[in-house]
Amino acid sequence: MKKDHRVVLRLRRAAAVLFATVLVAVLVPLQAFAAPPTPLRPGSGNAAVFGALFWPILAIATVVFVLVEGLLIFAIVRYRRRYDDDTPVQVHGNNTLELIWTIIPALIMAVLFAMTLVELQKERNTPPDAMRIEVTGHQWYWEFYYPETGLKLDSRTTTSFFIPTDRPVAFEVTSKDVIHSFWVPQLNGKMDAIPGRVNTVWAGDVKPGTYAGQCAEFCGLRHYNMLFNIIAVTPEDFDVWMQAQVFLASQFRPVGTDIEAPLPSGEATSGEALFVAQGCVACHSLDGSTLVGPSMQGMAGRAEGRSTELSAEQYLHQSIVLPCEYVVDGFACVMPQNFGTEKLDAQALADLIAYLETLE
Amino acid sequence: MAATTYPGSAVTRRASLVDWLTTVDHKKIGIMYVILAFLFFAAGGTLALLIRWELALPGQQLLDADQYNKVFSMHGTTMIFLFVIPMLVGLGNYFVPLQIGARDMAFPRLNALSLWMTVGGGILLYSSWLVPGGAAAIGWTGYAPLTSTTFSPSSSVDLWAIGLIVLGSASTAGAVNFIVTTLNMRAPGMTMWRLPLFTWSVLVTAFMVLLATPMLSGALAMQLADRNLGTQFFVPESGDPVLWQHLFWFYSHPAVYIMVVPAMGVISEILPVFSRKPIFGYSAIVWSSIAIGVLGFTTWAHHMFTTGLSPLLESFFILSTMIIAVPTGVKMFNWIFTMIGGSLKFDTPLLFSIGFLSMFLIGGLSGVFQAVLPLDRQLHDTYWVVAHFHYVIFGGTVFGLVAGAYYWLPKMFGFKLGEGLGKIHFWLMFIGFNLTFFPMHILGLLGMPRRYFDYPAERGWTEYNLAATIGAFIILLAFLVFLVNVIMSAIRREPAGDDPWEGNTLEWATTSPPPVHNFDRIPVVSSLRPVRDARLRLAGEPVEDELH
Ligand code: HEC
Ligand code: HEM
Ligand SMILES: [Cu+2]
Repeated sequence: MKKDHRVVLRLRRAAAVLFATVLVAVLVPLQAFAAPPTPLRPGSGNAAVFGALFWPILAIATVVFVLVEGLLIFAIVRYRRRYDDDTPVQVHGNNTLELIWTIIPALIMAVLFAMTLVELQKERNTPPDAMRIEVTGHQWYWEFYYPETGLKLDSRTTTSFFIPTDRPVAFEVTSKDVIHSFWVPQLNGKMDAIPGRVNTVWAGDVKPGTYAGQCAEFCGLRHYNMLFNIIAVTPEDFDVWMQAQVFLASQFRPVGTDIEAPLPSGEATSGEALFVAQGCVACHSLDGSTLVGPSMQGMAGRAEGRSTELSAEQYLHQSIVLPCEYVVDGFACVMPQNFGTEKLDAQALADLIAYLETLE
Repeated sequence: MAATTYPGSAVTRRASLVDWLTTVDHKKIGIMYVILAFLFFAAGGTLALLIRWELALPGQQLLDADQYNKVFSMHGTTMIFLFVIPMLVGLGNYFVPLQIGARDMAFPRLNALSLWMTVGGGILLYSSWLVPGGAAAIGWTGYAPLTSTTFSPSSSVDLWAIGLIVLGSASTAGAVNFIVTTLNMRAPGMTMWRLPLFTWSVLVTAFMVLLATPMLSGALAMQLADRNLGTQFFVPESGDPVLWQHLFWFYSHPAVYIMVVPAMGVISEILPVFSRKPIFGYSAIVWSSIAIGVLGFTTWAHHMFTTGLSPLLESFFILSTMIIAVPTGVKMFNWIFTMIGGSLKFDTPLLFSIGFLSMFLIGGLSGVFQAVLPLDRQLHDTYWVVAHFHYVIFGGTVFGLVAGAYYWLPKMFGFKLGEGLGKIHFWLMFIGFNLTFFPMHILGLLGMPRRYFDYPAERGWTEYNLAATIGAFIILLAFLVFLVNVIMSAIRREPAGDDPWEGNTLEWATTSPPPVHNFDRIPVVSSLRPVRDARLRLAGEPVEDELH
């Protein structure tokens, strides 16, 4: 009985993973960051506010523009000096006119102020039924935490974060280091991710679609590269995706810090991808230049000689899971210590090592 | 007082280098400010071209991300603190004493101190390129906690902060000097309501500098203490990184007006002269400057609409920002109605002034969009904002400054600038400017954030970026034409005469260039346009009673 149940469960999960994979393949367009992410093509009710204010104000601005530039051009054309001794009438001002062009702009501003307050009021309160997602900015990636299921994803390993379309979504934004700004133009305005604070930005009436997101507050070296996509899907599709992600996450077994632990055979090409996805590139260049850590150029060659007891492979294994066991001359031990305990499983570690061994 | 001009004196002698280095003459100091500002404009302009080159197409062109971040940070810092502000101070230094009929500034030695501190501050800022790790990559806004030693260990950030403190102290001292000079050193008969509008604008600006700059210096000192002494003013949890933004913008929003009000003053001088009409609504212009000066202090948090302000604060800052548009609009109409009914002579100073009016208008209008908070939360920190503030500072202030240069260089150096090249300069700059910065509005609407070293090709941003880059090189061409014009005119040395433009204000009552003591006899003023009155009397024409 019990065993049957487990088999069914496992089959269901496998089907979910398969389905979710297909889903992602279909929904995430090939060009991952498509088309301009403009609030003028809103994907939510909140983003639609932009157009509702932008176009009327543009109309007013255009009228003012045409009026003022028109007057200017009129002056230029009509009042050019024709004779050297032209002496125009010496007008010093006109109180009525001046009063008019003080009061009319003031009235326009009053109208704009009222319009603004009305729209603001609509957005003021996050709907109570909103699905919460905790978004944390890091140098230089975003971490998404779905509290309902405990799922944690980050933009180094995936660029696609799903949301359901049947209820509002509230992003609770904060940061672990410097100030970032979380911005998905087609869903809503930007919200600063400030360390020590949580700011909420929400989106309701979301239409299905892929919405590009990015960082909008300068946060250092790779500020330009904190790109991601929010993918809004039907609640059914969302549940499938979520189940699959939770399942995949539950399958993850960190490799640990025991350098005697056996590793499967590694795949250099996926190791290369991991080298980027795991953020190794932030500290290790491939071209010989020194960033935070030594360049990986020539790593294969020097791994052997680093230690008398360890083979090249064992040394690389140790440098990744226990980076402070051996500290390269001229560097400090600042490499994160959680690659073995949290981030890499045995396969990923083997892939990374295989990749490093190709770096002559 | 009948039928006299105000004679200057032609005693001149070639000044040696030591004279220049030790001078306390406001005119020499003014010229050195102007030259300093131009050198830094060349530096900041080069950095701007590097930015544009890098962004012309997706992918890396010639900088890497780290270099790009340094370049845009130093570009902004240079343009604001080492170009626009010193340039305005330079013109103010030269012309305020002349316009009010004084022999010098109130505190000539303090004046020299300000100049040399500005030089020192510039050297400090630029020396940061030499420290390990290179210049600070923190934007011109230096937000915490990116500026902490954790995220920016390089000492270039300390140099940046110290450099800005030195520059800020120089402007604070300069502000005191301008205020005392204008209030106490006016010629007989020069009441406040006969004060030339440029001098008025410098006075209002000086008050803003005096009240705002110490705030920046204080905030920078706190930042330095956080970095070096272990204080935690801007550290998350124990302090507050957003506090930095409040302090920074409490200075830097007024700074925007500090940068534009004097240029408005220049325009208010030029338009009447080239229209042969008095300014339309002198007191409206003065009062609107004062209003801008006061209101400028109430809008700072509109730069912080995305940090999560309380609803009450949000409404307040939306309202204050919208209100400040009103006095600005008043000026616009007053300027245009100065031209309407006039007799316009389209010399280069007027062309650039018209450039100012038409471009500043666009900057003002795009600013109104940003005051509308739901719009700003989309537009903030995008290329829309980059477009907006370049329309204000470049389209406004820089056009105004160049207008001022064509108008006043003949007074400062005694020779005329070529009109033909001047017009070519104008058209190149006008076209190049719009080609560079107009597309940036669209980039902002298409969601392109600012301070991005690179962007994906599929985003649809490429064409607009390419256009902007082409425009930037046309601007380069425009300034090369200007340089050639100045050099050729200096060689040609066609004498400008005391009063080449039929001026209104006292600087035209003395020789070009003026003698060390400015006026042989201190003029006595009985109207808003003393030099025009004198000219009319000399020609035997009636002088109508001016209002003031
Ligand atoms: C925060 C910066 C940082 C990150 C991220 C980082 N490293 Fe390192 N790494 C260092 C530093 C610093 C050293 C040199 C000091 C030491 O030996 O611990 C180092 C050393 C190494 C070495 C030994 C180099 C040698 O010449 O002997 C290897 C191998 C290595 N890292 C691999 C990786 C891999 C693989 C990743 C990604 C999974 C990674 N590092 C991520 C900073 C980093
Ligand atoms: C040659 C003409 C100029 C060009 C082509 C140019 C271009 C640019 C560009 C593209 C940026 C945005 C960089 C980014 O966000 O990544 C920028 C930023 C800036 N520019 Fe200019 N600019 C020019 C002249 C000026 C002038 C004259 C001023 C001021 C007087 C100025 C002040 C600034 C400031 C303050 C910034 C913000 C810097 C920052 O984000 O920290 N620029 N400029
Ligand atoms: Cu960021």
